[in-house]
Amino acid sequence: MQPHYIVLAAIAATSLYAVAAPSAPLPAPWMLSGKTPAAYEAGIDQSVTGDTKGAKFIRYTNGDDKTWATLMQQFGADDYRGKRIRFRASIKTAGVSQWAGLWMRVDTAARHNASFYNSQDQPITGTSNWQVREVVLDVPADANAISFGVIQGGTGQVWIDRLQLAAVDGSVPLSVQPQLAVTNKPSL
Amino acid sequence: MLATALPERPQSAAQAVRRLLGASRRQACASASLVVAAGALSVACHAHAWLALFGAMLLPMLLAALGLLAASHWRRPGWSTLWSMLALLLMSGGALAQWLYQLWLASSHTPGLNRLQIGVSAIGFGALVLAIPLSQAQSQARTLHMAQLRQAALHAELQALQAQVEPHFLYNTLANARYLARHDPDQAVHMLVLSRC
Repeated sequence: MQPHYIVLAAIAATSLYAVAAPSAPLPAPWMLSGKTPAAYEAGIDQSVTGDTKGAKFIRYTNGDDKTWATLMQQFGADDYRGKRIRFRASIKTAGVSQWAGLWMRVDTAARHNASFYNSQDQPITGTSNWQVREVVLDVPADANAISFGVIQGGTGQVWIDRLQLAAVDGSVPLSVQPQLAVTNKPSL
Repeated sequence: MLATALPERPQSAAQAVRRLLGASRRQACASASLVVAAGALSVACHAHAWLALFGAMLLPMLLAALGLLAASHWRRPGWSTLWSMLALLLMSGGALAQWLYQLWLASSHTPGLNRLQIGVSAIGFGALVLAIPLSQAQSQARTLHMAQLRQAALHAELQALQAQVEPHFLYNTLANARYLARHDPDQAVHMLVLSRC
C-alpha cells in the first residue's frame, strides 16, 4: 500500500468528521434553559434524523449530574389565542439518569403558568429508541407567550426530531399535569 | 515472435494489481508510519471521532488491497475475477468497519455517523481509490492489446506482400536475361555483368 492511499484515507476521514460533527450551540431561537444549563450542550445531529432539518439534541457534559436543563423555544401566542395547540415530536434518549420528556407552557399577562404540561407522569428514562410524544394545551384568550421544548434530568443525551406545532380541534384530549389536576370533589 | 518485435506487453490483471497496490519496502514503511503518526496525533488531541472514521476508511481499503495482492501473488487472476474479488472484499471490509464503528460509537456516547452513512462511506471510499486506477489500468491494457493486434495484422500483411513481390522481380529479370540471350547475347552478358555489380 503506497503512502498516498493513506493520505487519501486521512482526507476522507477529515471531510466525514466535518459532516458528522454536530453543530453546537444550536442556533436561535433555540435556547438552553433550566436549573443548570451550563452543565449541558445542545446542537443539531444530522446522523440520527429522519428529517432534513436534523434532530435537535441536549446532552449532559459536566458538572452537577443531579440537575436538569431544557432545550426550548418561546414565541408570541398571537396566532393561537383561544385555540388548542399540540406540540408533537419524536424523542429518543441515551443513558438518561433521571428522566426526559416534552413540555409546553402558555403564559398570560396575569399568570406565568396558565397552562403547563411537562410529561413528568410519563417519564422516559435510560436509553430508548424513537417514540412519538405530544403535549396538548389550551391557549387562553389573554395568552401572550408559548414556550415548548424537551427537558432532560441528570446525565445522558436526548434527541427530538420531526417537530410539529399546530392548532387542533377541541376533540383532542388535553395533557394534564398531575399536580395541577384538580378534582371536583374534595376529600373530607 | 510478435511480442519481441513490439515495445511493450499489455499488463495482465495481476501485474496491474502489483503495480498499483503493491509497495516497495520503503513505501510500505512510509505508509505504516503515516498510519501510526495519524493515530498517535489524534489520540494526543483527543480526536477519537476522527480516528474512528480514519480506521473505518482504512479497513475496507487495506483488506481489499491485501486480498488482491495475495491473489495476484499466488495465482494469476483475470480481470473479471479481480473485479468480483474487489467487490466481495470491499463489502466484507465495509461491513466489518461498520460494525466496529457502531461498537465504538455505542461505547463512547458521542454523536457520529449512522450505520448507513458509515457503511456507504467506507465502501465508497475503498471503491473510489481502488477501482478508478484499476479500471484505468484495464482500459490501458485493452487499448494496448488492440494496438498490438492491429500492428501484428499490418506486419503480417507486409510480409505477405514482400513474399509476393520478391519472386515477381526475380522472374522478370530471368525472363529479360533469357530474351537478351536469344536476341542480343552481348547485351545479355553486359546486363548480367552489370547486374552482378
